[in-house]
Amino acid sequence: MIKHDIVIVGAGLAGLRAAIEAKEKGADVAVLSKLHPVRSHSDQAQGGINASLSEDDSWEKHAFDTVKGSDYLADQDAVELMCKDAPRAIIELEHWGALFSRTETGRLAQRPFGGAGFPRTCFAADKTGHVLQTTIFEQVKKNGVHVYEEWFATSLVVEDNVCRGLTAIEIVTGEVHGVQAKAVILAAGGAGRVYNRTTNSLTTTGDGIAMAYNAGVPLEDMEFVQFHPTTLCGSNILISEAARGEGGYLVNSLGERFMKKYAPDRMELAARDIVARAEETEIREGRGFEDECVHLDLRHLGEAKINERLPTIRELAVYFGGVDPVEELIPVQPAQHYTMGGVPTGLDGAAPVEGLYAAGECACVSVHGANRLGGNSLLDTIVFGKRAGAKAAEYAKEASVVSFPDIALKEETQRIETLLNRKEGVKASEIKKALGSTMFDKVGIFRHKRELEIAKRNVAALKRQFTNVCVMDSSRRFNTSLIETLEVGFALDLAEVIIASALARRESRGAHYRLDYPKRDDTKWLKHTLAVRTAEGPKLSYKPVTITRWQPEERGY
Amino acid sequence: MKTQEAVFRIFRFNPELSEKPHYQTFQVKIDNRMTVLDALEDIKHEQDATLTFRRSCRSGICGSCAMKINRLAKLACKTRAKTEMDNHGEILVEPMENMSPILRDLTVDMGEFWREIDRGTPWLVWEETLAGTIKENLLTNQQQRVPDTLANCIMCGCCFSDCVSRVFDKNFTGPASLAKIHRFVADPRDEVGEKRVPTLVEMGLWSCTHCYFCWSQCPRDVRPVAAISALRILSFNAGDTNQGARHVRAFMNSVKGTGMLNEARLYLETMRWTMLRDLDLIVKMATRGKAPSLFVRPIPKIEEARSLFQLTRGARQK
Repeated sequence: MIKHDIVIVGAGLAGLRAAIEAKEKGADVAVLSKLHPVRSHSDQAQGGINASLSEDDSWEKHAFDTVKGSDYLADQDAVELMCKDAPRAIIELEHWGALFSRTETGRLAQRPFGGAGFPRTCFAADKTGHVLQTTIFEQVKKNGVHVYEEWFATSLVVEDNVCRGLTAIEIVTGEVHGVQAKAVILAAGGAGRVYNRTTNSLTTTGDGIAMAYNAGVPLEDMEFVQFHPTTLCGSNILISEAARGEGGYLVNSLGERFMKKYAPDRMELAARDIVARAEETEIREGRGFEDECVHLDLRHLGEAKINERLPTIRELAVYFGGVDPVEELIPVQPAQHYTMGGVPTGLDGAAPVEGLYAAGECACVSVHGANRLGGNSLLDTIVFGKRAGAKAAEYAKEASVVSFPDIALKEETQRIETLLNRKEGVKASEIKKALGSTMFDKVGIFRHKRELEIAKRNVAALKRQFTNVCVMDSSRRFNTSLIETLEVGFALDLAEVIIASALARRESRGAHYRLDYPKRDDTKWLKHTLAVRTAEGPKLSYKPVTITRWQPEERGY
Repeated sequence: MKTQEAVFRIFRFNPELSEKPHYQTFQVKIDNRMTVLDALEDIKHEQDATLTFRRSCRSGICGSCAMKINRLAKLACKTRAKTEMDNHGEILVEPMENMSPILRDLTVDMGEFWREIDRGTPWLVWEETLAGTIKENLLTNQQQRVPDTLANCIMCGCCFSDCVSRVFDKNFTGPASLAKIHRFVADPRDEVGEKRVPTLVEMGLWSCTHCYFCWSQCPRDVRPVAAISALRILSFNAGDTNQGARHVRAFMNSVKGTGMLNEARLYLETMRWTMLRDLDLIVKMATRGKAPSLFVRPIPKIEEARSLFQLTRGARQK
């Protein structure tokens, strides 16, 4: 049996930041990830990270923009905390060696971003995630944190509402291990791949969120799924909001900057949910291109600025989109981008199970509420990753060693053996394909009871098919088909929660837009959804939103 | 969009089933846009679920899907299938080189690569004069230019796989490792900075043969060989007397002195006493009149040759 004080699932920014903190606090901490840390999805973040660094800006303004962006669903105590801590958190990364883009005078440069009233997004050209992930991994090396690379966590082990550790497959050998820990920090990212059209990497499958759900932890606000307005048509590879932050236009087939109809003030830099809906409306009303995209125009920025500030965007557009933004328009369409919901946590990352913590996209603190602002997710990971690491270390120091029930490992090994030995059945990839299109078509940017009901039935049918899923590969060694199969299982559970939560919420707020209930309804729905697993499917309850100083008002850009 | 049949010949190896690898051929319908990764995903999901490879971001930034495609290490997600088909008539896919063991099919154990990266203290050493303050170091984009380019490295391993020197010299730490070290040497914040350089001789700084494969195969245009050159210049200027540095020095002295390459002196100054190992060969060459002369007459316009040094120095400073 492997034993540690703290085991962190996921090696992106949140997980690694938590690891550094826990290690510095003297805990025996290990990180477990299905990928090598530098392959984590945090690496793909492009545009930047927010902090009020300028004297003309303030944490209050940052917090207000965040709360307004969230359509007033964010918990304001958490938002305050994050925005106050942002300058420190970013400067710390600079001290660790992060190569941020600079101003003429050598200070950290900041650019305008969607939904922000001030240019407060720090950046490293348009590869901010890569730069930060590299830097934080260097610190993990320096601190000597052990990483179980290419280990896939399959289940959380919880008994008497106390977390005991987890089970995981060592991918190379296929062996199933029990990992005993006083504290587990889930930092395994979002659930983008529940959707077929997503900017997320192929491995961003919501494993951490689903593991918590399967262990009886309620999931918060899962109906709030962000769709990013600018992804390459077809491949859905992300074209950073930085492209609009630096001055890019969105145009329809009539050549109009259509955002003037939807957000006359902020235009292309309105919050993401608003821009994504505007695009979808243009496309549905016949003013798109080939009925599936609009155009992003960067030509007026000029080659020099594009090369300096948006080099990755140019490369991606040329290579994956076949257009050079210096001379041509980029065809873009909205696609799933971020999971606002997740494992509910307090301000220190503690989840509703003793010894369980969560941070980053897989957690719901909630600082993003119904719609996240660009540049706030990287910030979320490092601020709350650090706090979860500190709190878990404190807990582990006090907590006595907990027992790890042998039966948990035995059952999990048995479940995986059964999967591997099944000779025929449905392929996981087929289920995944059907699930992805159902989710995008029926639980996407615009939702309606009718469509949601169909999605619910479809997913139920897919879940039944999944009971007879076949891995089609019975080898133990490096069995990526097995991993994909388990991921699809997780995705199905989460899809069910997203749909149930979306069906119940009879209002439109942030990224959750109901055609049959197009207005925000603060009297009935200014509250967080909680979905807990039962034999009959997700059971919903609600909890209040924490409001400190910003009373809900109408949201316009 | 126009489609065509592509032939994928793929290296297969599962030590659980057989000790011997083999090649398997798959036919895949491809269009002009499809990447090799798209095709591998198709094969895995439509034809053979046992095909094993790593992948994640599918947009050229995570570095998971490095493999040999028609004999060169590349990211599968950044390699267009049609181009490979047009140039080679088939798409031969194999695991990367210089790393072992092969775990299964196209996945290799990258431990060797990571251990080399770790040899170089791969983090910023900075005993924080500003620690605890909310003040950033002041740096210009210009000062960050070199580290910034080098920090584009995604640790995919393509350069290491195709490194010719690494094949013969397991002490050579490899292109990515040296690029990473130069990233810190060139960072004004790093307190060790150029003091990192003296340790590099032991890590094989002079083993690179400048074959430029690491430059051509890097999917992020990091140009590790340029970092290696820069580190060599620093090492050289710091008085490095390693064989590699002596070779460069002797080369320079010869051209400066005579405008010609004095092969005998180049050999003597580079090898010093280790020439004794080749003594029998030297004697044989000398007795048969094949040994080059120790004395070379300077060319008539020697000043022109010398001025070349000024020119290159000026260009480098620019």
